[in-house]
Amino acid sequence: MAYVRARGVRFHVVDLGRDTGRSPVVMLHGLFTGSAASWFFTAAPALARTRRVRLPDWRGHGLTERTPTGYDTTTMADDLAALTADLPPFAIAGHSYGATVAVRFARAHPGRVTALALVDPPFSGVVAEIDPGRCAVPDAARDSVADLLRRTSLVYDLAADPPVTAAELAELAGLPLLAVVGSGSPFRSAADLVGQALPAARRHVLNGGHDLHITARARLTPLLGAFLEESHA
Amino acid sequence: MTSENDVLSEVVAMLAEVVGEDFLLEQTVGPDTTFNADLALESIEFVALAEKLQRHYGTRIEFAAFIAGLDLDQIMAMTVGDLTSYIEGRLAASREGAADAAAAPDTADTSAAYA
Repeated sequence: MAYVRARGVRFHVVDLGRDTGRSPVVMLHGLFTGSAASWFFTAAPALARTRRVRLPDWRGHGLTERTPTGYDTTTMADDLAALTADLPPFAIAGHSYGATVAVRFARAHPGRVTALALVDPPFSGVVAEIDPGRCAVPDAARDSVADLLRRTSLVYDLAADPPVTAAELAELAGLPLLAVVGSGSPFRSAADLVGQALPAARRHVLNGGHDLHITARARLTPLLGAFLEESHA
Repeated sequence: MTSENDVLSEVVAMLAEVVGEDFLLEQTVGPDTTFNADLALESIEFVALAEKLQRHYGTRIEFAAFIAGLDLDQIMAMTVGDLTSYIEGRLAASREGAADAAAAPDTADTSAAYA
């Protein structure tokens, strides 16, 4: 639990739980209103009963420095590598863009990841259609969202980042993988893409929209816990 | 011994470190103050407070276990008093545990004497 200087950026990272025989799980939040708090108040505490849980704040989010650039998945996967260098191989649970970065990280560092849980991953290329003003944004968070939009390259990095493809996902065959999507999410079809690419992947549709970690907390949390156990992660 | 008032003042002091002294000058923080509605604490500020509490009280408290036992409505409605009650309960349990541990060698000596 602390601030970590890595790659010239001051990152905030929260550690919960303790080392056990099981893999740690690194839980990655989504963009804009996401932060370490996204998982801290939802699934992380329950998972921390049996394993170490690490919750980084991405650059520009939570208590991590707001860098002007570097919001593409390649840079953020490199950030993740730096922020997990001290861990043994670990599982990842990623929400939204955190899931996209998780896929890029798992491809770049195949030996480092023991299991991958994708929560409403935005694989269908409609990220630009998400209007932050329409998301469930706590009033207090609006200023930081506005700063991200106005003072960083985030939206340009998002637009320029290549969408995750079935071919890319297929390279992850062999890695235990879970995809959970919201029944009313604009990204619901991501589960179909995962199914095409990885027929062995576990897929679930939960009632809810994009922010399943919050609105479907009571269903998602045990689902993630069971997935990690079954994956022997 | 940490009294109830001490825990409240320690929590308020850590809260001030998170949100700033100036902010708290405009608010009287008591047991009924809610973190969300009254203090408008951002969720990441609550995480920062939790980290400070965990560092301050060490293994005597387990903030993650506390949160795991609450549903989201309870978290959203949490008051300063809810938090201090949890901490006071854990500190009291920790003192009893320490007392039991201190008493344990006597028991062992007794059984050794009878062996």
